[in-house]
Amino acid sequence: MRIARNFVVRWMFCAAIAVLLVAMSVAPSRTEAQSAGNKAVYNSSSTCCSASSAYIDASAVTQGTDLCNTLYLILTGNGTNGYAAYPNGGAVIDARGISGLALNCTSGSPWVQGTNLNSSVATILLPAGTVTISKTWIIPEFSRVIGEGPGVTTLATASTFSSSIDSVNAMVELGSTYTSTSCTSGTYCFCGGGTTRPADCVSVGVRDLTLDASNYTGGSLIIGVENEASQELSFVDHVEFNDAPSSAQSNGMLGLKVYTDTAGGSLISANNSGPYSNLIFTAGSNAGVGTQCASITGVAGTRGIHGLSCMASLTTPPAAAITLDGNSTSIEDVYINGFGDGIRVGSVGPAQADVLSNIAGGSSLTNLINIENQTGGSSSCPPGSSAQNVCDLSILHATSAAGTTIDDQVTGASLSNSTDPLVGMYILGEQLGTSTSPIQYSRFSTSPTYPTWGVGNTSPASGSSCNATSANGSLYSNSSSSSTTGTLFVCVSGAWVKAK
Amino acid sequence: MGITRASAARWMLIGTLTIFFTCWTSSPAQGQEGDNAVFGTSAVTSSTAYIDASAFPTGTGGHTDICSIINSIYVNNLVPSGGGVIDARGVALSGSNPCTISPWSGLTSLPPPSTVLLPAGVIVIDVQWVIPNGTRIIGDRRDTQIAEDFASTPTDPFMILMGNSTFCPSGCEGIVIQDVTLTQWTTASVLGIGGIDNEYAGQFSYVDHVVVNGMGTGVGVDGVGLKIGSGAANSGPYTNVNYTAGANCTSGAASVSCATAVCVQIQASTRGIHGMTCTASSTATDTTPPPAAVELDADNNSIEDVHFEGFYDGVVVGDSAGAAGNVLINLTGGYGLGPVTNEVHICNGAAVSMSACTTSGSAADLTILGLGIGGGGGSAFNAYAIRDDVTGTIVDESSNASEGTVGIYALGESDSGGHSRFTTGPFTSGATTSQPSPNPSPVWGTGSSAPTGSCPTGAIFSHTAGSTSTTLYVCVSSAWTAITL
Repeated sequence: MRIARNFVVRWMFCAAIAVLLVAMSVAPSRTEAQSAGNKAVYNSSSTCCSASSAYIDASAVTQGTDLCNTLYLILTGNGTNGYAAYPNGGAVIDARGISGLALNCTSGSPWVQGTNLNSSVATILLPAGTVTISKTWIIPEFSRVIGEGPGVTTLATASTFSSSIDSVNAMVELGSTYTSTSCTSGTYCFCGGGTTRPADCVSVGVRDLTLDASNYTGGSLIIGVENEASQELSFVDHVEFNDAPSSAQSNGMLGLKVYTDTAGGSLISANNSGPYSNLIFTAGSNAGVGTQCASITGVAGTRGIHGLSCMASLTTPPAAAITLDGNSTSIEDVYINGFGDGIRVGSVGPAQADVLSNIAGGSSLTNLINIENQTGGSSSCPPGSSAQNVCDLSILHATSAAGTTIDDQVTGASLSNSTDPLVGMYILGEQLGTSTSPIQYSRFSTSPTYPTWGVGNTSPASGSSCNATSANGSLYSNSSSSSTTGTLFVCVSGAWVKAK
Repeated sequence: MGITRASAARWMLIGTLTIFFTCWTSSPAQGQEGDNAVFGTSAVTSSTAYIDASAFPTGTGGHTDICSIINSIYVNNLVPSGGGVIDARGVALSGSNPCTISPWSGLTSLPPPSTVLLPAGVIVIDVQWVIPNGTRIIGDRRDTQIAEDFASTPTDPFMILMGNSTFCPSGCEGIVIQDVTLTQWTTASVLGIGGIDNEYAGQFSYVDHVVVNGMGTGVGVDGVGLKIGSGAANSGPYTNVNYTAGANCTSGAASVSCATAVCVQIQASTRGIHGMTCTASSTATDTTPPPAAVELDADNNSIEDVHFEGFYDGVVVGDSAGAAGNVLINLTGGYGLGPVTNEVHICNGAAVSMSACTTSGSAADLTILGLGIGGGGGSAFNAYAIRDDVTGTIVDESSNASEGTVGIYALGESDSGGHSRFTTGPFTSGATTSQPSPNPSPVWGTGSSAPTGSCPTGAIFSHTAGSTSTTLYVCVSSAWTAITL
């Protein structure tokens, strides 16, 4: 009897354990599709939890040596290496839950670790805080890196920072022209193209973060974001560039470099990329002499720079905040201070059909807009001949606080802050006639300092001043229908002369 | 001893069951299907921050595809009345499992405002999507593809409508389409379907980072990429758009009609188009190339940072209705996939061969800043930055591989038989067989010496170091003549 009772109790116990195990095995917290990093959601039984692959939470997977290594392991996951097979179509990787020492990336970048690389598509959400990077982040096609906001998420260079596998000394690259035998023969590893056509990544973006090069101690110019391989739908938005080293540095930081050179052997192109919008660049007093906010080079057009504050506080102002040596680019809503030139146009290459709009300068600026009088073999102003680099440049609303508002070295017009702190419109057209010295251009400005067209309903008194001798040739239309003193006047030698 | 052992076993059983039931009873509180699971103060609890559509698996509950899942969320009123986010990024997609209904089909009342996050992959749609008021659909970069596979051509032949008369009885606001690619399914039989039509959505309604790709892969016609109808006033901006015409226009054969391969049609005053590339495959010998990339038939629009390839006209202004007070900034045309004959074509109420200009159009008060046009493409071909039929002017011929550019061209209004107009040139290059004989393009030049060389008749020149007899010059019969004051 006792044996029997013990037997029953034992079986009841075993049955209870079995029930428990079965219950645990079918509990709502378990799903067959679950992978580390999946988020948990309430399922069709309205109980918790089922796994959702809406995004991969990088803080829930087995952590690598640092943030970058963890992201690399997720991107290269194949289901057998301890990480779930990464979707071919890409995924959102939410790394906002990673913090602490893991943010010190010494292993490489999310896409390159040592000589190993992958070009998996991803949108990576970075956490608040400072992510220290030791190598360039090369972002592949269709991929985006998104922070929690400038000043909230910071990518900061380690003092030992160095370029990645393509030797471009940039903190972030939108694609790359890097190639190796491990990639498809004849094509760039990250962006296709190769020896027969330019690299052409699509839809590569960086958004909502700060790039801080203050700790960089290398001797070379460091670039914040370089784009020489990404074209359509590629962008930089709401990004702050900061370079405030604690001790004097020899070189400096170039915030944004957009570069196209399809004539060269490497077939580099950032054609139709952009816009590059809502940017802030700040360089401290110890920043290097090469400090520069942005550089746009190449005959191909871009979507331009829309919204930029560009400030440097070096004892000796750097040469130029923005160099524009490319065609068909719009630059608008820009503030610049602490440089020699604000926007330097056409100093080393063609700059045609560009539009500058709402450009403002601070009190520490020599020239807000400097139009260089350079010539080059690749220039086509006008088409088919070697001529000045710059033509068909439209400037709308330039405002200076010091120095020169517009220094047009092509036609020799200098609109200083003392006479022209505000310029509504200045359009430099193309060469007119055959004289090249002095050169003659079609041009129109609303500034009365140089030939312009005025209008009023009274006639200027004959012989009265027409502002400046440099305005020789200005016109004035008297719109009064009852005027008997003249309708059309011409400025000659500083005085109005009635023409009709 | 036996009793003791039995008692111990009994207590073990009771303890085990106690633990089991304790665990069971302390399991997370019940939540609504699709709720997010978050840690509460004492246990995991549900959050309605968003509704995860992957919690509604296909094959259950009548859910056959991603659209039916989303639809059920709306139909069952799971979206909070104040609005919510439907996160469908975890829903697995399959081309063999197409959407047979729209996510908003069968709604008997306007749904709450919502944001729908779509997954990477291909969403094949058998029916048109009509997006309700205050609804945003956001893809996973351009990896989210919405592919048309309609059974028949809808009345309004577009894949997606931004509102309709049902969802927008008094107009709509805040309808957004972002980060998606619209294309045609590989086996689509209904061709010529356009991308997006906005006839109802106004303020805060926009399109951003959207690709419309290959809307015609077989015979037939191509669809319009984006149409902004007259009821979409104050909508936009429409930013970072990429349109590629379908294979219909790749043959270059004269028999192929690409008349509806239009990148954008604008029929309302909007916040403009900022950042766009429109391409179509054509050749210089085509007699029926796609007529225009952008048909601008409304007032007060800005079009900025746009690139064209393969269309006869880049922007055609006032082709079928009046268009005044518009601004075009930084446009480029290149012979990539095909030539662009006129980067900007200003209509004057007359039909023009190969162009979209009709007798019902007109244009005035148009400001153009920063044009670049390239000819060439490996064959002799002339391209023009501007063809202005209002004043009969052609500005800047670009031949072969050279590039022509324009700083400013501002067309005003009719004035004493002519028109007010200002341009910095450059200057007329002469007519070709496909273009009318152009009028000269007078400009205003300046320099510190007397002008030399030929000039566009009617131009003036200010000599900044001249005297009363050598300051102002007029170009008469292509030669400079000083005006003695």
